[in-house]
Amino acid sequence: MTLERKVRLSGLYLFLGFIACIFVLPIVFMVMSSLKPDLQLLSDSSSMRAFLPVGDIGVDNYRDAFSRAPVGLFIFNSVFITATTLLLSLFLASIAAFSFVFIEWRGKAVVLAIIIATYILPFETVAVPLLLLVNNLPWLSTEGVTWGWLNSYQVQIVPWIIRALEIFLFVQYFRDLPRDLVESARVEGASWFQIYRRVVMPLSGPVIATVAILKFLEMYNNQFIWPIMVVQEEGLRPIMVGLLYFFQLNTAWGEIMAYLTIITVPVLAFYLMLQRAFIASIASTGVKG
Amino acid sequence: MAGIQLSNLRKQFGTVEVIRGVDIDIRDGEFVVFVGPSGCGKSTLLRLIAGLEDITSGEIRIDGRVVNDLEPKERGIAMVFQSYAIFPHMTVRENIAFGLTIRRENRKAVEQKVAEAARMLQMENLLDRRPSQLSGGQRQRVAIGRAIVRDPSVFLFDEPLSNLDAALRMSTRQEIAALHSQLKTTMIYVTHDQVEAMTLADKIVVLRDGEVMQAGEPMHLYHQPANLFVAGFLGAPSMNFISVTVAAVDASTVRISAPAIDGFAVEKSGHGFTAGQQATLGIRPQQLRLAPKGTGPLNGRVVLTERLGSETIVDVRLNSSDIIVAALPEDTILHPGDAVSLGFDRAHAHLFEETL
Repeated sequence: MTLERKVRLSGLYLFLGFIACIFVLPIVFMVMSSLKPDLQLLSDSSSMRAFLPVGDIGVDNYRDAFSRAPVGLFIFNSVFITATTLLLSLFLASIAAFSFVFIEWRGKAVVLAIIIATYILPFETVAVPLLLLVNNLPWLSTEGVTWGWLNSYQVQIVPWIIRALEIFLFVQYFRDLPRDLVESARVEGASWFQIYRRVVMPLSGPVIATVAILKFLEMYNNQFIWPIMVVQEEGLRPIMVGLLYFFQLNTAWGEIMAYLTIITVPVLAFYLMLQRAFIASIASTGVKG
Repeated sequence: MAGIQLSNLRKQFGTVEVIRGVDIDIRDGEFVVFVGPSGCGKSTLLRLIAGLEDITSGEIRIDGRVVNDLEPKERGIAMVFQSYAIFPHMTVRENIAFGLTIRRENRKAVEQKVAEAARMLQMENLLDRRPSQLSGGQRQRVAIGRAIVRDPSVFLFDEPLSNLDAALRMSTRQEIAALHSQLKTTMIYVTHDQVEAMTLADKIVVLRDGEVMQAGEPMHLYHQPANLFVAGFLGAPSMNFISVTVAAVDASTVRISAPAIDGFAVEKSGHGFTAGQQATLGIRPQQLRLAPKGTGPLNGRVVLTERLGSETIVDVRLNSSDIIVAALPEDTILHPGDAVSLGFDRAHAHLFEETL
């Protein structure tokens, strides 16, 4: 390697390291702060000490966070709601996209255009009508048919299962799959569902990972306003609503940081699990997460 | 095994009619090749037979049964695609067995059929590989294997060799021919390559703009092309065409005149020519022979020679300024600018009512 190339590479790595720092430092700050008492946390935050495990370090904030709010329950709720929504979303969005791409039926272009157009509607526009709607829907439970979905898991799951983006991503991906594969499966005698399950889905790893991660982030990180609107029962609340517990009475920054650290773990775990497929899909489709 | 009848078959995409009233009768066990230039509708025709496209009007019968509204899987066909269309996430074994496992056939029977197909196609050692680990020719064989195991009554091939290199194309072509003589199943084969058509077919169907130009045995089409298109399409190098005027006619001969060849008679009985009519003379390059200077009906100067080893292709600019191509014996030595006379057997000349 020539000197010039070495210098150029070092410069490049320095630059990339700097960019990486911009993304990593807030997380380092969060984790470090979660280990410090409030007074030190606030005084450290004006210097580089904010990013270092120095001074009075301990796990008191974690203990206090658990005693202030039912953290485990909130995490369970969020994971349950997210996982259920995610699985249903993957299944229904992909099967809808399959029909749009591979099956001929009258008017499908118009229907798809309408679905995609709904993507531009912000949640705030539909929030109130949606609230009125879910308040009047029936549900079959062990107690028979009940009316109104407020204070339940399903009210936090069903309205979020499908959004235009997921269908759109699957449609785009399916359009790029070789049509011959589907046609040869048809000639071989496969039913539409068999083609979906045995040919198309096994080849759709990248788009499944993309939709899974986007959906996970949407459900796990961003569910705040809707749960506040529809769930009053503490036992059904997700993590983001749980964050409010730490701003009531006196704001305990150390505990907030501890809570955030705890709830970040599932996100990181999920991302690391799907990282490879996610990067592959972004690289191949040009879709930005 | 099954015969296929297409009656007045039409297909429209929007307002564009791509298949215009096609009638073809394919006998049981026949190897039929649809040939024609790109966009002539040959692949569409195959897809209509397969059931991958709906027909606009007309009728398709397979084994005597009207299949217009049947799903592909109900037609008793197997199809080999140009892109092979083998499933990249399955092994060769799973690919070949796909149609059988979909039908939930007995596992033992499936294994046996796969092994048999693998042996027939000499790929027993490839069964556990994935398509990405195979060469183009091997992938094509997997696609053929997948078609064979289902024991279909009709095989459809959609340009199966066009993604292979020249050497492999020839050997795979021979394998397909061998397969047909072994299985004796009806096969329909689509290609734009007239060499494949001539070598494989029991019957060739030449298509152009969604219409059948001529159908029949390869040598019949070669020797008695019904029109200029078929004459020009089959045979390499292409047939030479010269514009002529009909000078005189009698029962068995038509006397023609042209700037290049004056007072030349073509034998053609039962013709519909009348004196004074414009027509086109067609001569295959292989029918042209060198004649002593100034004696042949065609005189001109050599423009280009290509020595192919087995023959020498010579482009000659006639005195009338038409260019014709002659395929001469391999030991012919001519140079650009040389004056030549070319003669031919008038029994092998073709005369068409169409004009250029």
